[in-house]
Amino acid sequence: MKKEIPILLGLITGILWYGEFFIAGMFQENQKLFFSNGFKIAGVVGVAVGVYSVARQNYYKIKYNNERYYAILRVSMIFLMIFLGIASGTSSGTPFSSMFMNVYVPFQATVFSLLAFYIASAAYRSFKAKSVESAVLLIASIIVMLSKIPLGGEICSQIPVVGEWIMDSPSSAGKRAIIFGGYLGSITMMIRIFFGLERSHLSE
Amino acid sequence: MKKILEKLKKIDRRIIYLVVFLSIIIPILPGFDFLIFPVAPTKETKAIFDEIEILNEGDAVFIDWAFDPSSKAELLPMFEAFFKHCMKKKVKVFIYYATINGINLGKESVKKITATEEFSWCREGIHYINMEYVPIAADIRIFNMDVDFKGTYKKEGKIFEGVETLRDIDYMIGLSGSAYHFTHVDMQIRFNYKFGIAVTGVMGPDFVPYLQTGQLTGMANGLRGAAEYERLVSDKYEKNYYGSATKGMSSLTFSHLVIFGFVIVGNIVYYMDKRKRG
Amino acid sequence: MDLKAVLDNIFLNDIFVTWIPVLATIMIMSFLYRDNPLYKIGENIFIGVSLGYGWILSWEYIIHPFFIMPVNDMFVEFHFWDITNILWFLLALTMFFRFSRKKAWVANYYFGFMFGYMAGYYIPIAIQNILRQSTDLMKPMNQGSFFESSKWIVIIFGTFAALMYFFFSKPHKGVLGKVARVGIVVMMIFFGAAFGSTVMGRVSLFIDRALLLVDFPMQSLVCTVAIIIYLIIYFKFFKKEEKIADDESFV
Repeated sequence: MKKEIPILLGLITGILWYGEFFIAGMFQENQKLFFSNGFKIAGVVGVAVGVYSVARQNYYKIKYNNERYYAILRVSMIFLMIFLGIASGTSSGTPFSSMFMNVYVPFQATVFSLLAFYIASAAYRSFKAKSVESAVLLIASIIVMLSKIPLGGEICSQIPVVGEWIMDSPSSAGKRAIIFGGYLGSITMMIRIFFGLERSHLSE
Repeated sequence: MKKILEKLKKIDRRIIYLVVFLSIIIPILPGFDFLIFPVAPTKETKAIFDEIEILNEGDAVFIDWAFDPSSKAELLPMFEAFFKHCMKKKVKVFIYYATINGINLGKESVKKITATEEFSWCREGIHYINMEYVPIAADIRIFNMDVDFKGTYKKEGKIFEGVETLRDIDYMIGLSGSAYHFTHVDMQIRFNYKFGIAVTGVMGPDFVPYLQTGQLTGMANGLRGAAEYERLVSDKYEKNYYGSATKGMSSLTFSHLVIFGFVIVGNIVYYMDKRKRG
Repeated sequence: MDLKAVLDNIFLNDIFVTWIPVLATIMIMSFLYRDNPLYKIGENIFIGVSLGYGWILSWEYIIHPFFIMPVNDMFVEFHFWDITNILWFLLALTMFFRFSRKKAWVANYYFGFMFGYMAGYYIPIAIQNILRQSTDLMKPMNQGSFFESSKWIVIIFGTFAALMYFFFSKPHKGVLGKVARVGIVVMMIFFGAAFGSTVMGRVSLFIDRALLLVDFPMQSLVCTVAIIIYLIIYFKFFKKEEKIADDESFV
């Protein structure tokens, strides 16, 4: 019963929502609000789960001296933000907003911007035309990169045209094949979940 | 020659990082403005521009902000240019934040635009509104196409006059740094709304088939798309609406050329080494 | 002294607004040289600030409007349909049981329900999209101009060829093998185009940071010099830098 009842619950809900697609008005909009409100409540619990998870993880790190000082720094920053949020409010022009714009935004943007360097390093070390397929990949990427920069049009007026042709034509064909495969795979997976054949989302 | 080959084979990655850093920062230093090349708009970006151009005063536009500061480099300039365009057209703008991390970023950006003299007449609740966040994620369509628009987002204002449900929105645009908007594109067939998208460069090729099927009316791809939109708006109103996207195009050009150089040198080193080994 | 004024003085003054973003940027960029404590400090400050920010806004936009206020309303006037909200709450609470090894199965009720619902509403949408993508391929090959016609010919045959590559029920020999090879080439072109776009996307991320550094040149120079000095001292006196073997380099 640990898995069978949840699967039955999922099957009943799934059939109702599958039917909703075909039988217009099967769910009145107010009844849809039942689900809408439900997911909002689930969002509340999700936040609580997240808070509990973070608190537990940092507690063990501090207790067992596993990167203790970094964990203390993390927790201090959490408390600082909570304090600023409560003391000054969260609207624009408050210390809370200033911490977001001047600490959070630069840190997050910079962490992701390091990828620019990694991709250059990857392009040098790994991007080699070792076979016909990799040569095709290389040429396509160079033409697309040239078509993205304004200088590409200045070097040769046909580069943006060829770049557009590559994006709209063979690239789109490759993506469509992947889309077909993706949708078919997801339908298969959803049907397996529907009928309880796929149980990886359920624990023992 | 052999020594040069060996050195190039084992080049420290930090030298590559330094060269890339210099190629990005030098073109945007003061005095290098001559390196800014004009950007010719593509048909996909122009399609979004044209959709807003056909709207009348008082029509409603819904911006689905689904990015956080990690993608702000590419999408924030697009948002700013698009918002300014909508304000010039005097259409009503509803900004919904699909991610909590984007809320303050969006509000600060709107505040910065409306603080300028040209847009100081824009009033929240009348010309635009921040709908903030509601935790129903991508199910916003399936649940909310036909329900009370105001009630879902718990907002009030004169801006809601004439907008009872999401079906009264004349154009929707998604600003996405992830795969979030694939669900919106999938559901477009069922609910038949006009939907455009501004994505990061990484996601651009993934949305091209949806452009071809008509599920998307237009697409602004990355920093280049944002620069194109800035150019379109500036040309239309003959004013300087150029922002960080256009400024960054010179850096983009030179960094791309540097990366080409690395790819070519890497391949030359590989083939020479292969020939040496026989 | 007024707490609000003190906080405003600390977090809204020019020094905070100009120096901290630049310092944050360069602290994280120090990772490009090598992992070091300054980067770790910056990373942990970022994680703490992001969690605190997320929790405060979660309270403001999720918990308060969708839990605290409805519960208050329930105490004021209880309607029979509020029972559904209570049931939802109890179902969602089962998520907590994931933390227990013995009772983790209780969370199956919530996840089973969620996945069943997602499967139910997504299957028709996926089928609709497959049909839309398929019908879009059934266009006449003559699209007016040679440019547009060549595009559609390549899209139609390219899509079929790429799909043939994924057909595993027959060995890829003979005609099927050749068509599958064409399919691989078509997909390689897609991956190449994706790589080209990705390069633009990734480089753009740093362009934004570079614009910040250029906007505050004095702060950038001072912070850069300070962090370079720190890195030199740290790796010379506190941590011997091991020679990076070629296969240990990041990529």
